[in-house]
Amino acid sequence: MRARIHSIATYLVYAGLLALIIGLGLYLVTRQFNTVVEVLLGLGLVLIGLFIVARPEQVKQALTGRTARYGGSATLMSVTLIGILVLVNFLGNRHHKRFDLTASKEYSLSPQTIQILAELKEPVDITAFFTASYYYRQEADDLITEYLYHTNKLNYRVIDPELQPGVARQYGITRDGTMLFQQGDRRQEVYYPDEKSITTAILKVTQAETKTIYFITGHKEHDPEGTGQGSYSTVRQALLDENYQVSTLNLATITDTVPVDAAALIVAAPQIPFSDKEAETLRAYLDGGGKVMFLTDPTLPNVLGNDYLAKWGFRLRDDMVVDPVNAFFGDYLTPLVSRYPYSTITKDLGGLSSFFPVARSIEPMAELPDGAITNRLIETGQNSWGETDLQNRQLSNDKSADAQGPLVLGISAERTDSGGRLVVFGDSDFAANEVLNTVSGALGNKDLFLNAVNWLTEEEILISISSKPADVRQITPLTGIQQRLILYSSIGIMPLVVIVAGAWVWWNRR
Amino acid sequence: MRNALAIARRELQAYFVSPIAYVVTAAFLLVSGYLFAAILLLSQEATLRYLFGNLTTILLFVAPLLTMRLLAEEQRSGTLELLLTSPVQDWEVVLGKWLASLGLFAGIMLLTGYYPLILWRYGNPDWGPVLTGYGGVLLLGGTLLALGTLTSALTSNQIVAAVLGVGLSVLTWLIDALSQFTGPPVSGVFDYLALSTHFYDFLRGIVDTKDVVYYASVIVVTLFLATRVLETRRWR
Repeated sequence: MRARIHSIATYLVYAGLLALIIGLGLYLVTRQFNTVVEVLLGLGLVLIGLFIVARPEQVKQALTGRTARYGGSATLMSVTLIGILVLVNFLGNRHHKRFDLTASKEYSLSPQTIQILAELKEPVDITAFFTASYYYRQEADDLITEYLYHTNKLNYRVIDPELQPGVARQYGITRDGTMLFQQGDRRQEVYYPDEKSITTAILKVTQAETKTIYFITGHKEHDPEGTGQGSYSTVRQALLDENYQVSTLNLATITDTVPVDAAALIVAAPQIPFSDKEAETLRAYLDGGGKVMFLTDPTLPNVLGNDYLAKWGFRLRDDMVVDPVNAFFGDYLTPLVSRYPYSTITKDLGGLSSFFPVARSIEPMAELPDGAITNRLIETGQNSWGETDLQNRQLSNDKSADAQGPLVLGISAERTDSGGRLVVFGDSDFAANEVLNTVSGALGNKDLFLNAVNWLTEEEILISISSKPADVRQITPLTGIQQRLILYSSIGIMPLVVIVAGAWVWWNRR
Repeated sequence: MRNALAIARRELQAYFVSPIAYVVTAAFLLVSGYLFAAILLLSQEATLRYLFGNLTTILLFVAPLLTMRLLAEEQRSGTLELLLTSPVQDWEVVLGKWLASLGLFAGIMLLTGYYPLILWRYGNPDWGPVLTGYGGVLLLGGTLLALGTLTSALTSNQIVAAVLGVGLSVLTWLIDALSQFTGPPVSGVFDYLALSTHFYDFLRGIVDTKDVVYYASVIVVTLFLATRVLETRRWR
């Protein structure tokens, strides 16, 4: 028996190895440790065991021979080195440094973002819902890579909603490219991967208390909860998306002060004058360091009063702005603005135009009262004027009576003594549904409104982050001759140099 | 180390009289020159980013052609025994050969310096990404040359060495595709192992120390394995 086994031992070991390979292969493919796999693996081990029993001297030689000793030591050395390098790479991956050598620091995050990331205490989960064809996928990944470099408090994962529709449904995601930021039960969605949106989202989901914005009601103001053309439900939704709470407030119901949780009040074009008491409540709130946005239109009551506004460094004129040059689709009464004076609120609106249907102008005072700082937000063109003769149907620039352009349509002001902040717009329709919903979203109206609210509620760290455009450097336009010169010389010169050098060497060695 | 440099010098001289080196260099420059001009004229952008992105694919096939002779030819002609029995360490032989191929490759990349000159003449390129692009190409090239040195140690046939080198390079380049079929953390390992994933930041103008550590590690492991393979001749 033993002799028989001895003579076929070589075949046994091959059969055994074959059984092991097939068994392992089956397991790798099916990922199931079923009977067939077990039998094959068992059989392989038994056959190899038989070989060992049958030819112990051969096994012994293979294990202790010269080859085994040298081979073993070579393997051991290799495994040791690879182990060390795996460790080095593991540590190198954890503690790495990145150097952005682009001239514009194109891929570096702003100091504000880095600071926010450094102050993160609890982890934030970022779930990106990207299909394979999502256009900004790479951009988003690259940007998140920079965020992950600065903190280990972010957990980033990507879900393909086409491959895992259940997960997308579970999170209520319907739009490709949505990035969902979550901490605890706070969530914030981002639809375009730029630094400002992502940092805003991180800040919003990590802030414990949400800020409440109150819209004043009771005087036929724009209604944030209505759905009509003139109502403010679109900006209300935008505020909710930015994690603000939005509520309404009737000043007449207030016995003492404005609610303490008010981050800002919005007075959206009251058509009926405030009672003295209401106006007094509003002014007292501002003087106590409150934040107010006041939007109004031509002929509507100036509920704060020019005497009071003078304290902030400007007045409202009783006029109607006419701009025959920068007019929205030829409507002289709808000035269009695409260049903004520099201010915290407008500095990232460059290139986004906004327009203001039927507006009145604001007169900044030449001499600012003590403690007031103002910033112009919107200015109309040189050729505009403030029509004061509102009875006459014929528009005419009466240079003696009418204010001459550029005219200020929006202004921000703050009092250094109380810390109060006030934003006034000479137009209220620019943020109404009819404008925001009917005209393409690329316009700056909504951003202007939101930036102003962010400024009022002191989310300044968010306002000051601007997205960096890609640094594309065009070459000067080339003439036909230059194009051909570049083409032929790039292709020809260097290979020719090499071939001539080769031929020369060959000639000399011949 | 001095021995390694001496071997490198000798091997570089051998390259200078080798027709294959001239042909490979000329062909590579022809293709890269064509790519450079075509990309520049189409994109009108003063950048080498897209050129480097395309060159990597070509490098996968060119690098093994530069290294195929290194150790295979010595084995075929029997001169390897002379080298190994001389008072030179095995690792010095491997390192010297690899350094020679790296020197040749650096020379080839020096000749591509004509392209940034054109960019400078007709535009205002951002030099940061140009610099990191060259750095990345040298690191990636060094890694591919190391892989080629390893396959050249495995066989005495140059063609076999080249084909094995291409196969090994392409596999290592593309291994991150496997991460599609596995979940974390295994997918992260495959992503990390791939040559390609570590090249991306260099293209954009970013130097990340972890990419440098990765390429250096692959070079060290590969040259170490090549040395072990040579060593087997002593006891096989």
